[in-house]
Amino acid sequence: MNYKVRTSWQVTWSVWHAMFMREILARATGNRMAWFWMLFEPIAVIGLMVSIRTLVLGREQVVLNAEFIPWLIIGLMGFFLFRDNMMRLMGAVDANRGLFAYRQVKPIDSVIVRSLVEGSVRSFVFLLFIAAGMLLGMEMNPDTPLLAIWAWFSLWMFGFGIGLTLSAVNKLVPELGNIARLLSLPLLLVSGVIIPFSVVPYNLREYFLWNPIPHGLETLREGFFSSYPVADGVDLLYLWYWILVTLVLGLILHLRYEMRLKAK
Amino acid sequence: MKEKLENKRSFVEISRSYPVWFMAGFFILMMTIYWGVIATDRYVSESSIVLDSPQINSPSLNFQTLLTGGGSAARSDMLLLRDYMLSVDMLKKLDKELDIRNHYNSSEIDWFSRLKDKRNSIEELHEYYIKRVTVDFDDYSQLLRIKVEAFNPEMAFEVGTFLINEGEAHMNKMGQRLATEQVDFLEKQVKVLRKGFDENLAKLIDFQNESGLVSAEGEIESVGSLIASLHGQLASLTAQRTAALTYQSSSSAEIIRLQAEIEALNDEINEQRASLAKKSGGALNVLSSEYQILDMNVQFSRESYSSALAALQSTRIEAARQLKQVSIIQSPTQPEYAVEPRRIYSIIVIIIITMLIALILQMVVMIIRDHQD
Repeated sequence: MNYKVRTSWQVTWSVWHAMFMREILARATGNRMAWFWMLFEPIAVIGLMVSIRTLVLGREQVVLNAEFIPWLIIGLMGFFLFRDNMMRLMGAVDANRGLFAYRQVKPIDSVIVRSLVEGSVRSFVFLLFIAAGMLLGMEMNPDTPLLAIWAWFSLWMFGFGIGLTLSAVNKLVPELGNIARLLSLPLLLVSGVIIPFSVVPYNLREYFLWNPIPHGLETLREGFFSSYPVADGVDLLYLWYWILVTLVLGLILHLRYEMRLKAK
Repeated sequence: MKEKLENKRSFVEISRSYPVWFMAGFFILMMTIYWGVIATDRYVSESSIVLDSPQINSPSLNFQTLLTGGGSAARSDMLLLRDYMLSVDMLKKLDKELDIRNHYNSSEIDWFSRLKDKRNSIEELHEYYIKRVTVDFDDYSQLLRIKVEAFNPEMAFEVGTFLINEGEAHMNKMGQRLATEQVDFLEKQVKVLRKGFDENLAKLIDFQNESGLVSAEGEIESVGSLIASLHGQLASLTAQRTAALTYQSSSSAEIIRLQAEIEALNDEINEQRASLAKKSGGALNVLSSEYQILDMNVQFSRESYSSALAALQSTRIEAARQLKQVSIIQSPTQPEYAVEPRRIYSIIVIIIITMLIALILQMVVMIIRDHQD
């Protein structure tokens, strides 16, 4: 019984690989209809939002140079990517508690892997929606795919950064985690997902743009509609400041409180 | 000497054990040198303008304008002007007048902020131009804010002034062309209508000359009244004859005279009646209907001619009103101090971002190192 000691990189890789397979299987086969809900939930939400928007603002095109339904789908998918990362990552540490018995598995692994799973699932669903939209004759093909991918990745990273921080915070101060859960609906409303920014009065827009999510969403839409009039002051760099800061904060928390996260 | 060597070795060792921090420090150093020393000064000339036209727009307030922020003609004109200022056409003019290509790719400028056109193409220049010249439409105060960056103050000022002047001229040209086209069209129409009117009038006059009548209807009326008066005379003569026959022989001179007059009157009446309506041509009723048609033609062409004249006149006035005027809120500033690049700001941003990234990398490496069998 004399086998080579693996390097830490190899250990990390196999931990992530194993956990990824475990998570994604659980996600897809958790219950009989899991894969169905994965597709149907966004469809239902989009249908609901379309009807609400139609009721409030009428069917006419409020957004310049962008069809209404693709515009909404792209915004919602981008927001869901962020929200799922934020919400599900919070529970990642608790869900994988049993695995921390293995020395190789750290709490942060569960968070990283779950973010990867969420990101891949969301990206896959988004690609399906784009394909379906194009088959239905909607203007869903991205005009500048690279920009769209970059904005998608930025939103993902922002969700990951917030989720990483919250997963630690939630364990240390559970009240803060509850507040974060409460925030998810208001965030949907102020992020320009359903209501275009052109409707927001000019002098209020500045405050709305303190929220980093619209920066990502608007850039994502710009990637899809080449002549989409992006609201003034939208800057992906601002979103990246947030990403970097939240990532640093999350990593620091995980490093410092690793033991307390494992405990209980 | 020995001490120095030891120092050097320890530095190498440190950098080897903290490769991430070493790279971050190196990057920060490079960027600081670039922003602090190498980057060439850029001078900024700013101006803000508003586009006025003497049109009076009736203010309409409804839900839609509230939602869209009241899209007015002035707004779309401003956006047109903005697009024109950033267009290749404008760039070509600028290049011809001020030679900005040579200005932007001069070798005195540092390599990163220089225009690097290897192909000498308009596309490269345009891409660069968009970076150096910004024209923003301020939605709130309905202003165009023009910002020109150049590598010496005079150039920035000149480009800014040129943009405003050229832009105004172009907007006027566009509005004027539309108006002059309308005026041209109307002038042509007026000419055609005038010709039609003349022709119709000439036809009417010819007809009058040919038939020897000024107005057939008047003729019919006068013939009618003539017949009526002849009938009157006839009646009185018949009465006289009946009266005379009671005391005179039928061969008396008076009876014969009366008889002759009555017959003459009858003949006259028949003749006049025949001239009112007759099967062969030249009768008054035929003439009258022909006359009416000609008369109507003349009247119709006169009316259309006069309305075209009125439209022409009002369009001419409208064309004069199409003139747009650029009102300058802030004339292009003459830069005295190089505002761009913002050296200290850029250095601080670079430091913060690099440190954050390095921190993340460092922690990720630490976490991975922690994984052990």
